[in-house]
Amino acid sequence: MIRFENVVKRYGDFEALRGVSLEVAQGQVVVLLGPSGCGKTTLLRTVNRLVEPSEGTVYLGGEDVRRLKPEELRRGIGYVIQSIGLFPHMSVLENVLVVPRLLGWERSRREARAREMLRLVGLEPAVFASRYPRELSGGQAQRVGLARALAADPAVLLMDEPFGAVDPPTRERLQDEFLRLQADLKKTVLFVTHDLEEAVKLADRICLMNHGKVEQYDEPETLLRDPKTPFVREFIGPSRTLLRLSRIPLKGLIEPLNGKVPAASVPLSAMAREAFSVLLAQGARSVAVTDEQGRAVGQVRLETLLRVASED
Amino acid sequence: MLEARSLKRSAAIAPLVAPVVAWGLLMGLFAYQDLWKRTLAALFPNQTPLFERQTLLNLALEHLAITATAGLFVLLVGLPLAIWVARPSGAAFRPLVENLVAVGQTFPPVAVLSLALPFVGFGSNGAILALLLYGLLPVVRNTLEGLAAVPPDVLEAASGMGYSPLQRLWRVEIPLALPVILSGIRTSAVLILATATLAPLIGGGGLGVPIVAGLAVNNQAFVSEGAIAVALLAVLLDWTFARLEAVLTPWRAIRA
Repeated sequence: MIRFENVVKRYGDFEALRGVSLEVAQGQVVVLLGPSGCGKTTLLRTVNRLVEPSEGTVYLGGEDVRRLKPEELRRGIGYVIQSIGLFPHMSVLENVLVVPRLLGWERSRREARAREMLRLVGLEPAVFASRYPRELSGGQAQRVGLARALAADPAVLLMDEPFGAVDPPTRERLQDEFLRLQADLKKTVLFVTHDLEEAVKLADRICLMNHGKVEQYDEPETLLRDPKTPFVREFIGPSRTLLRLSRIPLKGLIEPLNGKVPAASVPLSAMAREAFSVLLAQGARSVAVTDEQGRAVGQVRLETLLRVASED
Repeated sequence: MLEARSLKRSAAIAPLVAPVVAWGLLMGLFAYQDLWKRTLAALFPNQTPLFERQTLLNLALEHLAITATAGLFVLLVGLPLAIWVARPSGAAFRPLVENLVAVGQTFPPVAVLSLALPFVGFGSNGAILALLLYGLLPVVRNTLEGLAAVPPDVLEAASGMGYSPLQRLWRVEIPLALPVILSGIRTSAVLILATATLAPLIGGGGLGVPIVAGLAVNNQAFVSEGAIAVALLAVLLDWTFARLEAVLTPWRAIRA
C-alpha cells in the first residue's frame, strides 16, 4: 500500500534520510520507531508530501505520490499529529467536517458522517459537537483529532506520536481504543513513536530507525527475540523479555484448575504480561484466569510464563 | 436542528444590541441643540455659547462620514498589503512596507495635510488622504502580528488535511488572526476619529469646524462643543468595536 524506494532527504549537508526502502502492506499498522532525530517523522511526512524527498520515490497504492497535487493527495490520507492541531476557531463538529467539506461532500452527508465519527471515538455528539477545542481535555482533543483524520474514510492513516502529549492512563486508554477501532477499520497505518512499549503494543510490524536508516524491520516478536544489530539490541534493552510477554495472549498458556482456585485473577482476554505483573505483585506461583462472567476457567503458572519468556 | 442554528446565531449577535441603542441615544443627544446651548452658556457665561452655522448633529455626521471613508480606505489598502507581505510571495517587501507605514504615522498629520494640499486641493479629500496614511500603521502591524501568531501545529494540520495555500489563508489563518486584526482596526478607527478634527485646516468639515473656529476667535465654548462631541464619539466607537470583536470571535470565550 505504501512503498518507499531508496528515499533520501538532505537538509544542506545533513542527511535526515539515507536511502530508506520499506513496504507497508495494506491493513497493517507499521510503527516507525527510533530515538529523536532518527528520521522517522521525516519519513512519515514524505507520504503526504509535507516533505519532498531529495532522492527516491514514495508510492501510495502503487502510484508515485508526486502524480497528484499535494492538496488532493492529502485529502485522501488521514493525518494525526502529537500537538493535534485542532482548529481553535471551529467547533468540534466543524473540525471533523474539514476534509469532507474540502472534498465537496454535501452538507447532510458530511454532518451525519462527522457525528458518526465522534461516536466512533467515544465522544457523544450531543455533548461535544458544538464545543470549541479550548473546552476539551487533552484526551478528548486527541479523540477529535482521530475523528477528523478518519472522517473522509481514508485508506491510509499517518499518525505522528499521536498519544505522546497525554498522561499515561489516558494514553493507554487511547491505545486500547485505537486497537479496537483498527480491528474493525483495517486501515493502513504508519505510526511514529519513540516509545518502545507503545510500538510493541500497537504494531503489526516495527521499523526501527537510527540516523536516517532502517536498522530492522520485523514483527515485534521477531524484533524482540532476534535483534539484528547492536543498535537494536541496545535500543530494546533489558526490558525485551517483559515486552515479549505483552505480545503473548494468555489463552494459549492456560492449564486446568486442579482443585484449589488461586486468590489472584486476570481476565481471559489479557496478555501474559498482565498475569506476570499480578504474580509479582502478589508473590504468588499461579493466577486464576476468569471469563467474562468472572468465573475461573483455569490457571496460569509462573513457570509457564518464565518458560515462554525465555523461549527462542 | 435548523431552529437551533438560527437561535444560536441570534444569540451570537445579541451583544450588538446595546451599541446600536447607544448610537441612537448619542445622535439624539447631538440633535438636542437647546441642551448644549444652555450647558455651554452656563459654563462659559461671557461667550457665544453655541456654534450656529451648522447644527451639532450635522457636524457629527460629517465627522463620522470622513472617519468612515478614511477607515474604509485604511482597510482596503492596509489589509491586502499586510496579507500580501506576510505571504512568501510578498515577503521581500515586508521590511519596506513596515517602514513606510511607520513613517506614515510618525509624520505629523498637520504636515501631511499641508503637503497634500497642492495635490488633492481644498476640502475633505485631502483630509481623508492624510488620515489614511495616519491610520494605516495599526492595521498593517496588527495584521502581520496576528498572522505570525497562528500556531505552527495548526498550520501543519491544515496543510496535512489538504487545504490549498489560499484556502488555508482564508479558512484558518485569517480567522485565527482576526482578534489581533480587529484590535488594530479598532485602534486605527479611534485614532482616525480623533485626528479628523484637523480636517477643517484644509477646508474639510466635521467636528473640527467649531474647534478651529473657537481657537480663531478665542471662544472656549465652541472648542468645548467640538471636543466633547468627539470624545463621546471616540468612547462609543471603541466600545462598539470591543463588542464586535466578541461577536466575531466567539471561540475565544470560555463558556460555563
